[in-house]
Amino acid sequence: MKRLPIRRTLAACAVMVLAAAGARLRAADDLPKAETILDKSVEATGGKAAFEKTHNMVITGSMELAAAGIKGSMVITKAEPDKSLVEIDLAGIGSVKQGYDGKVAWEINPMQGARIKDGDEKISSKREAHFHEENWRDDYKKVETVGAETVDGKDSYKLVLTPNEGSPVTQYYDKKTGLLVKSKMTVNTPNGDLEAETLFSDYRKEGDLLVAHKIQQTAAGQDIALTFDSYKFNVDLGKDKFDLPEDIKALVKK
Amino acid sequence: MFPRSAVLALVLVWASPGGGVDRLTPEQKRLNIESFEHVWTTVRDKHWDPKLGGLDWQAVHDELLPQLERAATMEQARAVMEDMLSRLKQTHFDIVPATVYQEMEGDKGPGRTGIEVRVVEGRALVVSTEPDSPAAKSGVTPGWEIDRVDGKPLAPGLRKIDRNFRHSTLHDLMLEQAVFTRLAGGEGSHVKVGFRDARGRSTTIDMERARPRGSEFSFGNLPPLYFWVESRKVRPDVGYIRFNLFFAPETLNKAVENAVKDCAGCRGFIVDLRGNLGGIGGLAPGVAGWFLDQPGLRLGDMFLRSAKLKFVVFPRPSPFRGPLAILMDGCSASTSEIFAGGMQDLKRARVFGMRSAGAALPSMFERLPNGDGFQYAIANYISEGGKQLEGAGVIPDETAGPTRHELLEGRDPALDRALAWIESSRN
Repeated sequence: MKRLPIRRTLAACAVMVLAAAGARLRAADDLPKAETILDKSVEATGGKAAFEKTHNMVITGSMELAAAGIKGSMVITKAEPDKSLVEIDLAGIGSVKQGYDGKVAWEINPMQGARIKDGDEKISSKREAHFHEENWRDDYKKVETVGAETVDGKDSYKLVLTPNEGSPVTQYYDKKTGLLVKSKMTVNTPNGDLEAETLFSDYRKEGDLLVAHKIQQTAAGQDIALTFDSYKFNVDLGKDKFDLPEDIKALVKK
Repeated sequence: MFPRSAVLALVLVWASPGGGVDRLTPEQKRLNIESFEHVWTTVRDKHWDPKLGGLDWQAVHDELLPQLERAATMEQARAVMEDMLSRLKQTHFDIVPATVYQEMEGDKGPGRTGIEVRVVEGRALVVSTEPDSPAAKSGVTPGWEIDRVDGKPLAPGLRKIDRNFRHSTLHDLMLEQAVFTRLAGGEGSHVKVGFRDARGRSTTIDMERARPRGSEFSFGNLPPLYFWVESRKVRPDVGYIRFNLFFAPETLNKAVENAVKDCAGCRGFIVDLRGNLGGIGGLAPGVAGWFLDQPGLRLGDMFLRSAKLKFVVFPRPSPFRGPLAILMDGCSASTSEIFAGGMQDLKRARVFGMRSAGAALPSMFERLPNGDGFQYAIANYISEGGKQLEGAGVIPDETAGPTRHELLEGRDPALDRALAWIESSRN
């Protein structure tokens, strides 16, 4: 899997438009170290060498808030070392864009217009934009295995990852496959912090990497389904792909 | 915060078995029990506060179910369910008799006469006609009174609604909807509207209903809605914008942006939300951003069962900074109230007109198995100033509603007062 960049970005995307199995904790000393589980996950999704050969990626897919009947398409573009652009087109709402150019985290949406993210929201955007997240040690100052749970029928390890900046994230890894199957995190939005729970599934190989093609997220009582049809790696993105839009430049100058 | 027009439209197409004072049949008793359980379960599962403010909801159920089982008439059964909801001590939890729905039936399709109506002191008055609409082409003017539709008098139905909603902030909206749905029908169909014209003469005009004003937009599971926005300068130095829904985000925000840019040097600006039934909640802070230049402000907070959502405003690049007036009336609801109430609390705007509908929450209407209606709110909204708008509405800073006489004279009291205030703010 091209794991963390995809997972974290999409989790945030899902919440942007919104508005577990029972625990069977075991003694911590019975559990594998979190570092071991995270390294195993990197290997399970293609291995560090495969990740290092990847310099950018473009993901296309769709999203749906089934209960409200809202559907949309999305394109996610990311490049090393820390550039990100998410473009979502939602029927009845319009085009939503979010980006990080290595310095400025921003959003333009049809409701609120252009704005620059700061505080915890910027910290999250920066971490989500970190392209080579297989180097997870760059992002997290502490990782810990805190238990074992069954997630969607899969026996899984439960890890708490404390980032260098921002709130801890809880992640669950399938004991058998080593793949990430679930995360729980606080998503910082301008409308408040939301607790989001995300399930990852339908792992399939794209190039040398094993990636999730389906994500189901629940936040603020709403369920969002994301489906990814295409992953492209090392494409010609052009020089200005991550340049700030004019509306954002105007805000930066202020 | 779905537009209430859509909610009402759903209500209107439901069949409505009658109520009445006749003694209940075994089948009606069964349906009443089924309705009781539905109401009780809905509140338990969907109320934004799972603890219901400490109320022992199970005890309420156990106390009242035997009373319901003993009810001999629809009125008695309804009273038990109303008693159950009254224990919440919150507005917008209500049982609406089936007979009230009968008065609001008739919306058969997207055909309109172009008449905008308000019921003032029991009389259905034309307050405006849409440009190029069947009504405008027929010579109907503001101030005319509608007294019958297709030969059927309006007054008895209006009196019934007046009695049922007399103490509700929804009073004006329900009356307006009752007339609106009588006038609406399939595009191309005809309706005979009986008027009392400016001279008090009775006249009947046969109108062919036309497509509603505006463009059709879809959003999620809502049926298609017609959205329009208009802007102009009501004085050379006063901007004005009016739109019927907080909908079609890109179109609406572009229209507000253009109106604000065209009025950069204006003395004042008026946002007319009379008759605006709300729409997408996130558009309230979005529109507010064109009139606020200070970051970090918010219109209020919405409390859902699983989250608290803040309505944060992000100032636009060149917002309008001069005096801002907002016009409201009893048919302004939902997102309109969030916008107006928040801007009023922030002391950024002065509100003129009539109290709004007090429907600032995503409240839902359902039809119960026994034919009655059931309204319930699924979230609580508190404005920036700590006011609960639900069931209370936005109280205007200056109250001004039209009379027949003023309408016939071509006057608009709320607009006039707003203009006078802007004029007085010049120095």
